[in-house]
Amino acid sequence: MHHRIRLSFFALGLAFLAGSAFAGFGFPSAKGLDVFDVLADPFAYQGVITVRGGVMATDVGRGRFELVDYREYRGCRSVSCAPKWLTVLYDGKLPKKRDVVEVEGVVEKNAAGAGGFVLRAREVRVK
Amino acid sequence: MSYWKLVWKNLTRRRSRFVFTLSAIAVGIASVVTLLSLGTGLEAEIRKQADVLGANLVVTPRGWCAYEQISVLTGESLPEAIPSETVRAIERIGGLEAVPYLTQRAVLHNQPVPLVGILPERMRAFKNWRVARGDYRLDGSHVVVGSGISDRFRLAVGDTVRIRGQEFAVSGILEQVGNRDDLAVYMDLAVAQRLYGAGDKVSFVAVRVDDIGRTDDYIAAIQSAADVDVVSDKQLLRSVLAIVGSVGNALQLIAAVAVLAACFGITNTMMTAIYERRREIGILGALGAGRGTVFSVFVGESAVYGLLGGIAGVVAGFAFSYFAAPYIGQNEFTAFVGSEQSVSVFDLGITIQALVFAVLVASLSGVYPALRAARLSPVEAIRYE
Repeated sequence: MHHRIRLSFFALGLAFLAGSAFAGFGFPSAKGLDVFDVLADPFAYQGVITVRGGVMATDVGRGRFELVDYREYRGCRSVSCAPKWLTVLYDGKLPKKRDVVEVEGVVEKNAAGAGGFVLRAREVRVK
Repeated sequence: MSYWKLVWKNLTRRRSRFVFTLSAIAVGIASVVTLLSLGTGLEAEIRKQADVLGANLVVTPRGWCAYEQISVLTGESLPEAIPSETVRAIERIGGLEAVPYLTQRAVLHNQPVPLVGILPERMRAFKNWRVARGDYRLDGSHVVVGSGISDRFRLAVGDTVRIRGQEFAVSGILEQVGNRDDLAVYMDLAVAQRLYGAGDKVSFVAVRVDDIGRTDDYIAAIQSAADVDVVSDKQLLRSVLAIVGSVGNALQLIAAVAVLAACFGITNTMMTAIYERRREIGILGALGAGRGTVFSVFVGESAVYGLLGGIAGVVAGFAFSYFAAPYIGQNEFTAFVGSEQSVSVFDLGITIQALVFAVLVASLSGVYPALRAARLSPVEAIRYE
């Protein structure tokens, strides 16, 4: 009988933890500057920065992808309705559309990006 | 032996069973407390942010989504979409005060900070701001900053900040007001529009009406004067709370399942106790204890389970919500306001609610076993080995 009670208790605990995990991690968490923050004053950021966001589109041939604001993506659950985005150039393997990523890189002047600048990525972490 | 002594002795007779049943109810109540703690803390934070706006109505561009509505409350950067012509049309409506906002971002020491383009004197009167140090001067080469920004970046009057490549002197530091107004840089609206390439547009317009009873009339008047959406502060709150609530539903479900499982645990424990104590129940009856007494002993035991489990659950719930809130309570709003601000670390109301709920639910769980015990005939019970 005690064994059953113990089992019930552990099952309850597991259910609680699993539920908590479900409630908290339904959307990938990511850390870093937000896309809107960077777009507002891109050249004010010095050195290597980390930007988080959702991948709106990729262009494998040109090694670039467009990043939308993480919070907007989280709120709208869509990468298609963002009014502004950040162009990222990356030599490595590109993430997929709708991936949540953390991009480490530097802002540089480049006509390839909207507004005349891009984020030249050193590392892209898919969350 | 007194009634409560008998109840306690029965409960602790099987210690491991007592502990595990208690743990089950504690887990259930802890999840309820976590839910209430997160919910009330978050709601208070949202209301606080709405108060900071100081407006009865918010005029936004047509088609703004929930994310952008939340951003109005949290002071995040927003797209500029309302032309000055529309702002003037709203200002011409009698009985209201309209204040345009252009919410953007500046960068200080590689950190993004909110920058708000404002009409200086109108905003000062609207918000009732006071200057702690320096002057309230906003023009093409001066900005003012909130006290929080001054403290965080060690900015003093006369220091310069570079915003989109242009240098501005800090002319003054606002008196601390204890909300997010402390955490922004304020710039003249026309200068901000030029610097951020916003043309003559603003992000949204905050409106304070003279007669709050005629809010619907004002909304109709604004919408007939301009092609915009108008939301009242209450609608804005409801909209944000609805988003937060939808996230809370998952937690509510978890809490309900946990409490239900705990109830079944108590019922199961009490049923087991009846089978083990049949002979004792029979002796009680033979000694003159009525059915009511037997019934109350078992319901009393369940209630004690509820009370003790409730106390443990309240402690665990507040501790859990404090440490785990950043993970389990995250949603679009908490992502902005920060989880630390969104949790009630201790709330007497929640504590009382949770304890009453625990005792009530546990007592109800004990009713069926108690009825079974009360219906046992003494002869049949004593005969049982």
